[in-house]
Amino acid sequence: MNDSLLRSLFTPTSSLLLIALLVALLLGAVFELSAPHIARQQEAALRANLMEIFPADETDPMLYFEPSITLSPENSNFVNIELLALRENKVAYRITADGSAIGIILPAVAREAYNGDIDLLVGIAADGAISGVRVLQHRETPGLGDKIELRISDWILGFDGHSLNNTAPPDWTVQKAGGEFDQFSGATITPRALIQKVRDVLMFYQQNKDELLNL
Amino acid sequence: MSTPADSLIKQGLWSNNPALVQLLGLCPLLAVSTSIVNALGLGLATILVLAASNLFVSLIRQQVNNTIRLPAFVLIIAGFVSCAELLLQAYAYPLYLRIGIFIPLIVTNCTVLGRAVSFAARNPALPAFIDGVMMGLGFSAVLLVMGFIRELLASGSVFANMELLLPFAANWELRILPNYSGFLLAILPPGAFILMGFILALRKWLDLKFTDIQNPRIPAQAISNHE
Repeated sequence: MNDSLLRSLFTPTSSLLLIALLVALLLGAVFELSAPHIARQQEAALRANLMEIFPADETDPMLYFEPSITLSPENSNFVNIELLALRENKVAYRITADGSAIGIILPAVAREAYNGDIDLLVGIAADGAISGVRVLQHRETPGLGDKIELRISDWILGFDGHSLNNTAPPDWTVQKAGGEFDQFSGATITPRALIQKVRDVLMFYQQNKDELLNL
Repeated sequence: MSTPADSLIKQGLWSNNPALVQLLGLCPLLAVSTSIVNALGLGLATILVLAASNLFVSLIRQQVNNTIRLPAFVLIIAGFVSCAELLLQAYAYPLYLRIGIFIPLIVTNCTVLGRAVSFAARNPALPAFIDGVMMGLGFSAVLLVMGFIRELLASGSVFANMELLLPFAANWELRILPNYSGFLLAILPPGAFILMGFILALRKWLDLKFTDIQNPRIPAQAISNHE
């Protein structure tokens, strides 16, 4: 191999390597500087979201949202885990105040919606009443099914305070079908799927209450 | 080869505007311009990336030969885009949750690679930096105009949720059309294409109008009569 060929291979390779090193160095520095900020922001955002689903006294220093239980779709220690219809491992948050459990936030998936899965978080107080429900992710039709988002409509707040005690299982459907809950115009499938899934989550809670609160 | 700064400014903002003339970066432009706060967030990130990548590319332009030009430039741009993404996460997290998935798309915004190859690689650092800022501003201006119009048409108000980006801007929402029921098409992708068409036509019309004033066209007949 002659010298000029060697040089024509070596020169560009080494300068590309040098550039890659420089960029990596820059990226590493920015990452190191921003990582603590990002972690703090993520934690604050998560806490704010959980606080919406389970309203509590934010100033209480003894209030904790513990990411305490990992729920897996199968091989679970819980009775009827399929009620939650999870597709992958999800975390449930137990809420404790002064060391005792006052409620839990459970993840669930409504699979029978109009377009794909709807990911939910359902907050339940220790007595079995809903403290809040939020949709994390959905692909329902904009303008029709997306009223399940709080920023578009306050429909989702209609769950608050309901429990299996004050609302019998058959009443957990839209008013059109003789149930307790509003549908919204143009979309029945979306609210019906959500309402039934929230009921399923309550049933799961009822059947596993002791394990969920006292693990 | 160097270009005077005022020509660079004019080119970036108007005569060679990346969005309106070069028609580059349409994917992030159409996807993100649904509201002013989204548009401003992406605009700032794009300006940052364009200016930084142009400057960096210009500084190392002697060390980069043609064989490795493209991989080197893409590497640099991707590095700066990742920095922008990290900074957005660190300092405007709620906004990041809304437009975060579009930030990596800046890498595929051909404006950035285009300016690196066609300008920064052939010019000294200062003009390259100015070109990057001006091209970024030109792109952001189009983003903001589209964001303004689409937000207004879709919801009847403007400057909603500005506090996601500017913490002091909590009550900036301005209701322009009271009792407005909303025009969904404006925030859907087809609405973005239609509006973009109108903006392109307007730019073309303004351009022709001003060229006419500067160099009035003499009717062909007048010339032949004169002879």
